[in-house]
This record gives sequence, C-alpha cells and structure tokens, in this order.
Amino acid sequence: MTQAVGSTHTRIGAPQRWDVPFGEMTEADVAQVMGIEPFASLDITRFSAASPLEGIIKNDTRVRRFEDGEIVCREGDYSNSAFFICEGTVRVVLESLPPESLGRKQSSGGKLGRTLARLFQGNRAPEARDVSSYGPSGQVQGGGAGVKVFLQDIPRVLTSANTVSIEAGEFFGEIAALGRTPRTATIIADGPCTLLEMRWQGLRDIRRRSDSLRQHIDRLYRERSLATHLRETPILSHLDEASLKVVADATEFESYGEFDWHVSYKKLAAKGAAGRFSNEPAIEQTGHYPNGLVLIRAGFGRLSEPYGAGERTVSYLQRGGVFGLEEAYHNWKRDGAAETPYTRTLRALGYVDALRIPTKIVEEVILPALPAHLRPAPIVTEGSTVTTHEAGLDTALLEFLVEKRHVNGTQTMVIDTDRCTRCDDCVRACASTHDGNPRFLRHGPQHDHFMIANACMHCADPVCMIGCPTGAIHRDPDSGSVIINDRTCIGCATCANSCPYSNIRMVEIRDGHGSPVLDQDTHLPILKATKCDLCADNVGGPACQRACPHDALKRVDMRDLEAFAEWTKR
Amino acid sequence: MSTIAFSTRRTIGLCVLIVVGVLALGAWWVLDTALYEDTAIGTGIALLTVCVLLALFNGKKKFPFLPTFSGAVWLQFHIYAGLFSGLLFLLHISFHWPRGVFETVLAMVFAIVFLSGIFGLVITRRLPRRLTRRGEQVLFERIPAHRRTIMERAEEVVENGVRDSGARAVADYYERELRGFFLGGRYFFAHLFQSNAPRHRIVSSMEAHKRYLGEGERTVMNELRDLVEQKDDLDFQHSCQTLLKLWLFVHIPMTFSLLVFAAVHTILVLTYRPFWS
Repeated sequence: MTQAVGSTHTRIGAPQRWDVPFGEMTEADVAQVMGIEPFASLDITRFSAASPLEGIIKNDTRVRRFEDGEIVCREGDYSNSAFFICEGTVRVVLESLPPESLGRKQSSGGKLGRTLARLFQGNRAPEARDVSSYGPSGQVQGGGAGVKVFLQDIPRVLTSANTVSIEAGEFFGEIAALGRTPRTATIIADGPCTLLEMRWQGLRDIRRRSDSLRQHIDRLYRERSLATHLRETPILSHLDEASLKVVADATEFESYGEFDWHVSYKKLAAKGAAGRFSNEPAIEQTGHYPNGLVLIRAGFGRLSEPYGAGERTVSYLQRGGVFGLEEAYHNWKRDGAAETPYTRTLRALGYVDALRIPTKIVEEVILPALPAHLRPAPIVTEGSTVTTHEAGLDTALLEFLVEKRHVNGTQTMVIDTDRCTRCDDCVRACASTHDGNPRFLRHGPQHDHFMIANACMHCADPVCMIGCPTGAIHRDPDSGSVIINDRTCIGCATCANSCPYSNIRMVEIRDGHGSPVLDQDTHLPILKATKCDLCADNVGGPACQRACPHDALKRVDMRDLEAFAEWTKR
Repeated sequence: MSTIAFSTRRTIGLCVLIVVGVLALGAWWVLDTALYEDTAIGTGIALLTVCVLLALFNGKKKFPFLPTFSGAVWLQFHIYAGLFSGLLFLLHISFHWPRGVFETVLAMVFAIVFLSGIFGLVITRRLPRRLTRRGEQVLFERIPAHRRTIMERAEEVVENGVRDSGARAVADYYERELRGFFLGGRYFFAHLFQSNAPRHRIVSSMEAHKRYLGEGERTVMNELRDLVEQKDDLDFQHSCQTLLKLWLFVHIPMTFSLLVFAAVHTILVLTYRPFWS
C-alpha cells in the first residue's frame, strides 16, 4: 500500500470510509443479516451507490456473540454504536450498579510508561506518522469488542435490581449512539445471544433511507429516553412508579431549532445579538400563561428576561434542566392571589429536545409530593435587580458564554489574561506531549480578561461527530473525551467544518523522515484531523493546565458554573 | 476541590516565609553571635541546596509530561524559596559584602539572579493586566505580520485618497511623518512606562495638518488616525510582551552561571577549609 516515490515524498492511497471496517463480516454474515427483518424489507434502491445497504452491513456492523451474564454495555459508557438483537434476549438493568460489579477498574500503569517513554523520544518532524499502519485492514476499531466483561454475582443482581428484557428483533443503544450521550443503562446478556452491533454512521444512513425503520427507532428512542429522563429528573425522582406512569403518559414531546445547529451557527455568529435572538425559537416567553413544566432532554436553552429594549440572559438550561417550576409552584400555592405568568423567556440555543408536563399533572401529581428541599424560592415580581447569574457568574460573562455557545464545553480552555504572561509554557507543554505538535492555539474569543482559547472543549453536544463517515472521531469509552482515531481518519474535514468553534485542524502528515505523504492517485497531501485529546496518554491530565505557572489557564466544565464562578473571583 | 483565593494563598505563603525566616535568623544569631560558631558552611550548604531546587523549575518545564507537581505549585515554591534564598545569602555573607574577587563576582551574580527574579515577579504580575486592557490580543509571533497588515491598509487608504481627491497633501504627509512610524516597532521604552506622549504627538500633528486639507482628505486623515492608534496599541503589546520574555534571558543564564560559580566556590571552600576539620 505504501509506495516510496523519489526521495522526497511517500505516496499512499487516499484513505476511504470503509478502509477499516467495524468488524470482520463474512459474505455469509452479510447475507444472513440481509435476510432478517427489518433489514430484509428495506428498499435497497433508496441507498446510494457509494453507500449501499450491503456495504453498510458489511463495513459498519459486526456480529457479536455474548454468553450468559456477559455485559453488553455499561451505564455511563460512551459509545458510538447501537445493537440489534439477532438471537436471544438481553436484560436492561434499570438501576445503577456498583462499579466493581461492572468490571470497571482504575487506569493501569501503562500511562506512566508511555509518559516516561517520551523522555527518550528524539526530535520528530511535525505531524510525522507511521504510514505503514494506514490502509485497508481487517482490524476492529474502537469499541473494545475484544474484551469480555461479566457481571459479578448475577443471581443477586437479577433478584435485587429492577430489570426488563428486550427480545430478538429489537434495537437498543440507539439513544447513546445517535444522541452523543453516555449509555443510560447497563445491559447484560440473558443467556447466549447474538447481536448485530452497528456504528452510528451506518445506523444514521439506514434511518435516512428507510421511513419505517426511522419511525420505529424514533419510537424506541422516545419511549426509552422518556422513562430514563423522568427518573433522572430530581423533582420527579421521589415519585412512585404509578405516579411516574401518570406523568409519563401525559408528557408531550417537543423539539425546537435544528438538530444540525452547527451548520448555520457560524453565519449566525456574525449577526448581532438581535439577529441571533430571531434564530433562537422561543419555547416559552415572559408574560405567557404557564401551561406546564418544560424539561430539557437534549441541547441548551437560554433563559432571559426583558431588559431595556432587549433581553438579558440570566441563566441557561441544559440536559436535565427544568423550566417553569417556580411559576407552577407559586400559582399552586397562591391562595386566592393572581396567577403569575412565566417570568422568564426560554429559547432554544441551536437545538432543544424538550418534554412538557401539563400544569394539571404538575399540580395533581408532582407538587403535592415535592420534598421541601426541592421547592423553589418564592417569586419576587417587583423590584427585581438581578445583575448576576444564580451561580454568581457576572452577567456580561454569562451573556458572552451563551452567545458564543461555549456553554457546550465540558473541558473549555479558559485563560485569565490578567494573569497570563504570554510565556507559552502551555503551548510548549502541549507540543511536548504530542510529539512536538501543539494541539491548540493560545488565542480565541475574549470577554474582559477571560479568553476562550481555540482548544477542543470536549462538548456536551459534540456536533463534530455528526458527519464523520468512519467514526474516527468518537467518545472515549472511559473518560467521555472526544478523541480522534488517527488510523481511521480519512481526512475528509467534516469534523473540522462542523466544529462551531474552529477547534479542529486539518494537517498534512509526514513520514518518519519528514517527507510529505501524498495520495498515490491524486498526488495531493494526505490530511488528518487533529485536536486536543486532553492528553489522554498523560498521567495527571491535560499538560496545558498543569504547565501554567501563573494559574492563568483552566479547563472548565461549563456544567458546573458555580465552580467556574468561584475560579473567576479568585 | 474549591479554589483558593490568591490573597489567601499569598497570606499563607508570606506567613510561612516569615516564620521560616525568623527561625533561620534566630538560629543564625544564636550560633554566630551568641555561641561564636562558624555558620558559613551551614548557611552555604542550605543556600546551595535552595539554589539547585530553584533551578530545577526550569528543568521541570522541559519535561511537562512528567508526573510532578503542577507548574503553579512549582512557581509558588520558586517565589518563596527565592525570597528565602535572599535571607540565606545575607546570613551566609554575615551581612558583609565579600572582599575577594571571586567571592565578589559570585555575590554579584547571585544579586543579579535575585533582583532579576524580583523584577520578573513584579512585571509578570503587572504587565498582563495592562496587555489585557489595551489593544487587540495578538500572539507575539504574529505581531510583525499584523504590523505589516496595518501598514498595507494605511497605504491603501492613502492611495485611495489620492485617487479620489486628486490631491497629494495627505500622501506627502504620510510619506514624511507616518511611513516610518508604520514601518516597524516604535517607542519601546515609552510603552513600558505607559507614556502616551508619542501617540499624543502624532495625533496632534495629524489634527494640526487637517487645516490644509479638503473634506475628502480629512476623512482619509481620520481613517489614518484610527490606524495610527491601532499600530500604537500593537507596539504597546510588542513592548510589554518583549519585556515579559526578555527578563528571562537575564534570569536563566545568570542562574546557570551562579550554579557554576557556586560549584567552584564549594570546591575551593572544601579544598582549603574542609567543614569536617
């Protein structure tokens, strides 16, 4: 595959989507899968020539056989694949199990070895790669398919834990695969079973070309996501199963904005605040009658209130957030006083998948049983002088973070330029940890003395993963970080173009001698996507943060704004 | 883990430094003044040890991937141990400037390292705030390219003005008064002292020159004025960022010189006055 031409260039074939298949599917396997429902009834003419159904089954799926008690997937794991049950039954454990019974273990000393090995690495050319590892192969990528983990003490778990069975012919795992979220439940094999694991790119393509399958998966997605989401919501967690069922039956599903919000984001970012508001659909508005609770299932919502001639952002909601509880509680307890309308506006920041629980159910089922510590503070309707976010964050900084959608980050690199001496120790540390190639730029949007550097934020909603045709960009199953598998990256730049924050860079790779690597057909440079990987191989976490001598740089989880607010006020 | 406020950390660090300093001073006074013991060897070993530990900070930066303490912890240790080394130095020389040539040079090198460290501490705490509050944040390596872009924009504005108005008054003024300003970095020291005098002088001159200009040319002059201010802000960024890098070119090489001199000094002392004798 690798071909040395002349003395200055190495030429290889351009990486293709299915160079590295998901698994080793034989022709017989493919034929067998194509013969079972729902795949048998799919209209193959609706698939493109470049991505035929047979090709998807052959390259984007793999057959996996599980023994009784073997763990198929664990709650909290990130993955990029869904499962279809070909034979047998699996059991969904609806409760969280202790980590030790799921075979979770601390990271081994391998990291330390790799860290120390860097001491003996010589200088390498920028973006040098071992090109002999590229090209078609039968190896399985990602997913950890080779390791079998069995649930410890199965009889005890099955008798004490709440479980449900899923039979042959059903899908599961599609929520995490398509929603870019962690697995919501642990699933174990209930007897020997055969599963078809499908990476989400294949699932996405099939959904796109089959209406019936899409509707089926969407129904599963909604049903299973609803049950889990309601159970995870603090104000509902105290309800018994019967009450929860009443709530679930009355819950309405709503979606706002665009699922692929990143496509239009860069254009919107160039507009003023007023222009952006017009592209943020209002889910509920200040002054409107409160007709229920809105629970955020996915995406981000901006909370604002009228101020001057515009709207002032006072907070934002993310997955698990609840809107309208204060008003509902106030009105339920008002004791003859006038009803209070919504005091704030909730807008979809890009995309919001929401659940709405009608006021009647809220007042009859949820509020009477609401524990005292979860009851909201009374609404102050007059003389409100809100100037800071509830977490203590400066309002202007909050506006900036929401405006630029940096609230999406779980590892946002924030630099306090009042302390940063521009010494670039962070950049050098990053380069030292990545074979001389820094994976971020110490530059970026700035508000007052806080700069959001151009470093991957490892987003809660990583839209960069949406279009990747090979699954090269994926969630690390252990850490949840968004990382790129260099071997399976075909350099299509979809992720780089999708990243709303321009934090993914395409680089021209070189061979071990420093010569550019070219496509043997087009003679164009071979590109690879690169970005911050949070120093996955480094003991002690991201080198940038550890290297900063002035406490100027921090990787911030925007889901914990209180900690961030505390950091800003040091 | 909750974040420790800088003021709290500073208070703790200073308290520890004062306690350790007072203890060291007390021990030295008891030994040297009350018991007439020779303290030079003891303070010398302590000083050399502290200097080596201080120098390791730079070594740590070369291997950021090693699982040692964070850079911030290292710097805190570096600051307070560095300040403590000043006291140790004074104790070592018994508060008397040495008389021998070698010892004088050694003492001077130590003083330079110590004072440059203090200088570095002050500027690394002050200049970043100034940088944040003035002009666009530009990476140091990109400043020349940025400067060139501003100059090209200025020349484009002037050329367009000549083409539109047909008059050369602004172009002549630009050639005579402004081109040199736009060509490279200017007023390095004025920026370090936050002096606005050069900028004020240029802008005043431009305003004064407007009386000779027509309406269209005044618009051109206003655009040029904006670019002058941009360029001046960029020069400010360049001056401050240069100083933030430059002081290390004194501090670090002198540290290595200090270690070499100190090693020679130790060998000489051990040769001619073994501490076990």
